[in-house]
Amino acid sequence: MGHDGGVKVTEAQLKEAYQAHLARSRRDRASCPSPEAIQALVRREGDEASRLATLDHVMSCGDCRTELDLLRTVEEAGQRSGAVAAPGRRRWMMPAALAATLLLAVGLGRLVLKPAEDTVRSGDTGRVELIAPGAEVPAGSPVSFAWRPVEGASRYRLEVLTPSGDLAIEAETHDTALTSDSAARLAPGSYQWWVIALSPAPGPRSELRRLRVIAQ
Amino acid sequence: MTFEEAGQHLSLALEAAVSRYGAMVRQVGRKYRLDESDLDEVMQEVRIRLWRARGTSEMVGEANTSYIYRTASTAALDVLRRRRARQADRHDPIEEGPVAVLSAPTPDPHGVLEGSELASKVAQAIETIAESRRPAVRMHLAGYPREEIASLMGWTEAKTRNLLYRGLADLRERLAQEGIGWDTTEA
Repeated sequence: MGHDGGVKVTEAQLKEAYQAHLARSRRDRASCPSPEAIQALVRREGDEASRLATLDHVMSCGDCRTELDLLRTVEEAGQRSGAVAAPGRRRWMMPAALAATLLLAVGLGRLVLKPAEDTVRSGDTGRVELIAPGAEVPAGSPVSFAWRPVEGASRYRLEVLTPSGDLAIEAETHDTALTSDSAARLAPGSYQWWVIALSPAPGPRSELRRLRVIAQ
Repeated sequence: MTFEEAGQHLSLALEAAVSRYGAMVRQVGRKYRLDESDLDEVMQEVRIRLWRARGTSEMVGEANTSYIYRTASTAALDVLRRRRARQADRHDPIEEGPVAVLSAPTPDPHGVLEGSELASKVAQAIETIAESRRPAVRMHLAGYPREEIASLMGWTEAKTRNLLYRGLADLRERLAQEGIGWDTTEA
């Protein structure tokens, strides 16, 4: 490059250079955000700082960018088919029966459960037995969730909800434990979480358990 | 089970719903210039999951669009996880050959080096931009229109424009320090 008097480039050339750089950049995927984090970006779930950090990586990594576009495609097709609201208008998207159960569970929780009583309750919605964490976790740290196995379940979906019912964290695993790095980004406050067994269709689920994130 | 076998075992109503959703996935995928085989892999996974779930959920029988969408969402995540695992197994060597991005109208023996050097300097300069502005600049240079940046982040048009202009100003300043002048008339 001619540095003697400097060089002039156009914006088109800058874009071309950057896109060529992107196309040949191959990173160690271990440093890439998880597919769930990229999906959270697509769905605009989680706080803006987390999504910005994910987007910053995705837009500098050719592999992640392809993954972003694939997840956007699935999401946008869901919006076009009327299965899901566009991000920003998304609230608690689920079938009416499940929504009714959630409202009932929240209502029962308020009536029956005291904050310190995080015991597992039996009943139609209590077939996934939650083990950890306790009622309170420190802010800024990953949180390990654990539950007992359910017969016939091939996967489990963990969901953490904000007080308004928005999904703060959504993750799936084959295991009966999951350490969520996203939980480290939860702002101090009150949340609720539950686990749904999948086989792969949604099956038994746990109670809604309270989770208070305490500022350190 | 193959794609065709799974399809044969789904009810007609469910197959119709899956096909409708699959057509939308392809339509949107073309917009993002995705490889058809990537989309096929996701839809194959959707059919297999629905077939396996037959009889276990009333939603499957009702050909619920929302259920198909949610199945596709989790299927896509699994496809990506599997792909990453395969990439980790392969340990492909990373090729860092020069890239010809600033080839002059007439063949220039230094064109390849210049393109590669510019790409490297741009990438380094972007790293110095404030974190709040950097993703918008990356998306802009990657070819995404401003509306798409706003849509992805949930920003207003004004906020997007502000972050992008300031980020591009940062980039321009940094590149100038590197002896690279930048004619900006497009952003």
